[in-house]
Amino acid sequence: MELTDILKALINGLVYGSVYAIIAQGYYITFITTKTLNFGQGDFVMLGSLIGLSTFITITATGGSVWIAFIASLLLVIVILGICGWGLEQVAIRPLKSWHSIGWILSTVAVSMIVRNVAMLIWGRDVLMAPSPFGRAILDLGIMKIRYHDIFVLVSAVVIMLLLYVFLKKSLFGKALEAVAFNRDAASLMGINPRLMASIAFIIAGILAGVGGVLVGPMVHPGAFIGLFLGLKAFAVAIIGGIENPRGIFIGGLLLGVLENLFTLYSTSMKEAAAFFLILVILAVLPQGLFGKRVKEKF
Amino acid sequence: MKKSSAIILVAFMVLFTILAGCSPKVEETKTNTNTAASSDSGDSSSKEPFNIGLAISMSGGTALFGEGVKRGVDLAVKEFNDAGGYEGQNANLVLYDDEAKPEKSVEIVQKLISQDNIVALVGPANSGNAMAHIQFTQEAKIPEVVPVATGTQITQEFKDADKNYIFRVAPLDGVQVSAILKELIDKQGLTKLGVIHDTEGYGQGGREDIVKQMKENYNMEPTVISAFDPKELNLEPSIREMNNAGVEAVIFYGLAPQSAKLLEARFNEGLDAPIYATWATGDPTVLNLVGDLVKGDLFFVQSFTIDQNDVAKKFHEKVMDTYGEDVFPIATAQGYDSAKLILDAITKVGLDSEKIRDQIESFTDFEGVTAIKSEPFTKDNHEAFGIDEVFIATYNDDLQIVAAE
Amino acid sequence: MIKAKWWIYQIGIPLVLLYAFPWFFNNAHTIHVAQTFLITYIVIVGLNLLVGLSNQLSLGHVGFYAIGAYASAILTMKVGLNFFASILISALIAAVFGAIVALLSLRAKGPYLAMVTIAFGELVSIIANRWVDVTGGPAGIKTSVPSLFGFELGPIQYMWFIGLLAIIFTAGATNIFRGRFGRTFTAFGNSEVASEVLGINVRKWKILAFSVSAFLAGVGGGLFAFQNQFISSTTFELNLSIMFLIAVIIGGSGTKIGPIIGTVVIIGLPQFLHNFVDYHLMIFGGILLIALILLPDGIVGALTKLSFFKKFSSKKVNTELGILHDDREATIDLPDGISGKLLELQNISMHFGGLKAIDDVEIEVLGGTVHGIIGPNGSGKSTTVNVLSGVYMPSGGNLLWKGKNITKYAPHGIAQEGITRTFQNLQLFEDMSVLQNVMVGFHRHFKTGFLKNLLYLGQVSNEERYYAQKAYDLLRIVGLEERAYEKASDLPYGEQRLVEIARGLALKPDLLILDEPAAGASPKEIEKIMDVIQRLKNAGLSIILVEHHMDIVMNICDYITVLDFGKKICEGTPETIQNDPRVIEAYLGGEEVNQLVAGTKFVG
Repeated sequence: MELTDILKALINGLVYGSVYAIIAQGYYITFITTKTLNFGQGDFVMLGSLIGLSTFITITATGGSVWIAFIASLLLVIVILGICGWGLEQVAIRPLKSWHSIGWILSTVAVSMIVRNVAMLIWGRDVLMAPSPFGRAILDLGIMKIRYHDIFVLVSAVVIMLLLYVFLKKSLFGKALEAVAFNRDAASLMGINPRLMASIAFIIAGILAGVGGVLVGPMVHPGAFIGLFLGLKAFAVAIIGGIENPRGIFIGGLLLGVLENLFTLYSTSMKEAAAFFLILVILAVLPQGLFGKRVKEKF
Repeated sequence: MKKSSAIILVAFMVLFTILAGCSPKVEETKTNTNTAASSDSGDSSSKEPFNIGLAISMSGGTALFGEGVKRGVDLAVKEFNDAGGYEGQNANLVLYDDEAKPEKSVEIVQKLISQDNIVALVGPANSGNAMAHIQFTQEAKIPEVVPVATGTQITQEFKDADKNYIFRVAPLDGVQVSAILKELIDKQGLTKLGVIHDTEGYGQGGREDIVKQMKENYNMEPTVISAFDPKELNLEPSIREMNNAGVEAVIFYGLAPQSAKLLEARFNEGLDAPIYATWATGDPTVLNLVGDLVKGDLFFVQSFTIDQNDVAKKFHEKVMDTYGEDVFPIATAQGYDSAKLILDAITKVGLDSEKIRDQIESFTDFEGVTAIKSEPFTKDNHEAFGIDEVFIATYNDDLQIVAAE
Repeated sequence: MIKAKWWIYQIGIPLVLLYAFPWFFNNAHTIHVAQTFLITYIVIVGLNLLVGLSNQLSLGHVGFYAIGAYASAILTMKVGLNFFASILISALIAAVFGAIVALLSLRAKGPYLAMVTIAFGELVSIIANRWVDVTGGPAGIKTSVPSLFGFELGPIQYMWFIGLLAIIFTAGATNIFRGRFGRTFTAFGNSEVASEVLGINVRKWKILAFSVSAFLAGVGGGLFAFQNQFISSTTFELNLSIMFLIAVIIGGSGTKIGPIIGTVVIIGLPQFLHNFVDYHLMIFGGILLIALILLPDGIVGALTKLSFFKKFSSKKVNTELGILHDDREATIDLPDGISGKLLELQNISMHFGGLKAIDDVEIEVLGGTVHGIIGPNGSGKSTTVNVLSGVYMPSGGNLLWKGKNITKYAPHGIAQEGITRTFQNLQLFEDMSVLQNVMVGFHRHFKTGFLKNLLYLGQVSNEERYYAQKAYDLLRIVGLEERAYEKASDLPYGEQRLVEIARGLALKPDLLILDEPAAGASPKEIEKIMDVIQRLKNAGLSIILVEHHMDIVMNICDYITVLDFGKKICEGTPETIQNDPRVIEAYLGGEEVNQLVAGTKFVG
């Protein structure tokens, strides 16, 4: 009894943690290239899941198969959220990027307010049901039951992580991105356009938010007002892992998810409080997160 | 230097105190004099509309309640105006969003009272917001009908005052809890009850009432209580907690989206005990979100179903005709009745807020669309719904809400 | 004269406006909004000190606000204290929490700091929500009608009361802004390391900044608790922290009147959006975005850029500090010279992981001399300077200062002992004028405390004027008196280096470490810098000079240490060094290369 409870908590934690980690990768990419990030990332996730669910429902209603519907909604979300990411960089980051200011925090918050309002006008104030391509099917392992969708999310998260990793480490763009992160001026001397890199970084962040939204949709009942919570969780994950370390973020996400869910065995109502307390402790001891780079500054 | 500064400071303080003594009086009662004047001259010259206020959340966690109520109130106002208004004066609905925040609620209610000169107020959805602002409506002598907020205390706050201006057309927590406990303990004789509630005002208020009533009426306490953050994505831990404690029934206190999550968690995890919930679980959102997961061992308190009688059916059709959908039938119906109470009173006694209040309290021939009685209120009872107006309902095999056996 | 003007602008006019307000706008709603405005304004004033001056970020101010609100509600309702006393006490409690947050986030920067403060705010809001027995949770608790000396304060009196507090706090904040406390806040906000080497204990000051800011947020929260005589946990959510930050930034962070404008935006603007129920979020967001794009420095920041205001503000600096004298001769104020061993490095090592940046180095610096440290790139010069100034803690060995072991001292401790330095990568306080930069250097000589500065007593202004004159004298010594009121970051590179030297001299150091003072300077500027160093040497100041330019080193230094690959390879007078083959090898890669360059040997 006790053991299966722990096992269930572990699996739940891994599933939710991996979603947060995917969303949080968006913070990583924009932060290393521009030292800014989208505080409204959660609202992009919300937008992704709502666009995804509308597409999915429209296609299945006209007789399309669930997998065609799922892939179509994923593609549409990638395109739209990519554009949103690009737009965000154009209106809220580029005009404000002076090193001395924190204006970008607020400009991204401002954009998120607008996104939220638009979503409310389109999809209403209610939360909606986002169907999973697996429906409600459950895998019964005897000692415990797992939703197929949960397994799907976990697997997708790992696949996305791997794709992202290969993309960042092997592709020309990935190398250019790393170069900009390492030394902006030198990279720019080598013919890498940091402005272009910034745009691409925000496009990728937008896409990650959108994909995260499509995955998380069937788990949350998306609605116009769910963004803030998701964004905050993902931000916490990014910080715990160390925002400049993508692997750290992934591990941090899984860790936070698992610890949170293990804590529910003790108390369900104080779970959030426990998570934030944990964050405070971690950052007090390791101010760069668990896996962040500890650089000695040179003077 | 220091000394002279101190002297100047003290001098300022003294001056200030003196000046404070002759402060202007806050003009809170402007409304009444104005509307009284306009009602006197109502038939002669001006056909200027008078204002009815609606202060409710149109964003935030309870936005859907706001949307539902707004539609009901809109319908009532439209009907009133179509019928010629009050001696030719049309009613105008002034709606502000309280963003589900108490301080915002106070702000907009004061604005409604002192700038928009409303004659009566409908709102809010959150009990905390109601508790924050009712003192201002009470002081300004503006009758307020609460269409959604269920906190037991709201109508009790001024029950000892000469005139209580706060009314409610919603099943309050105390009554809902009584109905559930009566069913579970008196009728079924259960002893091991679990409670799952959200940590918003709704769930916490409900938990308080459950614990209090169990203690006072039955000398029992819940076997296990599980609370969850309404933003929480996964309620399986709460279900597991109930299973582990081996409860015989679960009392659930949460709004529609959380009810849906609970049912999904029950589906994934399996729950050995029936769920007894509040009226919010009867909200169609739940059905939309989880479909046939509502079937089986799910019971909830209701005061209105869209097909409970011909009046309700007709009202539902009207909502469908006007808006194309009925986002939240019970909130819309309660909103409609709340506004109708005010407007019917105006038809009878005119635009004086105090008279409107008296009339609402003393209706004997009110016709609403909810289970509201023709004589809904008395001096000591400002609740439209008592334990007799609510019942335990469930979904049948055709996914319709019916009274439970 | 200035004093009278201050009283009129800071106290008189606001008081009159405050008093007159209800006579003109007398209805319950406007009074209520005015109360909200003033309460929020007090919070913003505090946040502006933190965000605007010391460049810290807080997205958790709602936590302090909530603590202030709940503590004062509980103290009044359960303990039975007077409401005003309970507000003050709970503001102090909030200040203690401010200190705790500062301690937790001492080393966290940027997004990490944001997360610490968010986590704190969320934690408080969750506790407020769940701890129902004490806080009432979302259903809320009632507080009493505020009363003072037996008089119940009605809405208007309460507004006046809040307004009076707001005026007092504004005056206090303005005093902080113009005095040494504001300067120090700005200094460590601009460069922590530069502040440290000038003797500022940054950790302590950060805690102070957070505490002061949290105190004001606590006062705001306390006042809020009695505004509606009701508080509920749903008020205290992350959104509110974001609103506070919006007010600071959009008003113009770090400016004196920014908070007023910012508060007008976040409280006033929504009043006009009530009617747009479905669109108000969008409109507010849109206006915010446009404002941020068009006015990145905030509304006040944008206004001060207009030439009219610029003239006005620069004149103000001049008058506030009194007239600075040009007639008296400027002398360098230095401590008595010490002969003999001043500083000893005993077997100092500094390892970064496997890399030995400096390894077992021994150097003795004698009083009254200029000691050069040279070496090729990567030889460990910078690391040596960082160890000497306490920026790095050495991995091994001892640092003796006048015989006293200072190995484990933090930079500000070492500065207190009389050692300071300049930086190869300039670390000027960019938001300040040149004169103010130098005034920060006098940090360890200032005597007035926080309270005196809060009231800006005569003592404080005398002290300010005294050190302004001294700073001005130092600028005359380095030849920058014309630039005194310009922004430090607007100066050319070489002159910025001179500002750093002047700032270091302000500390009245026993030992001044110059880290590549001529790097990046033009030949003309180098001449100027050399001249300054020469004069300092003549005045008897002990100097450690790290430099690439051989002519400077050879001309000025009495004694030179040469490092290569983290090891000392030789030591001696300039003549000895110049002729040492090891040095030539280290610099030019060996005898062979030397011969190749000299043309005495050919490849092939």
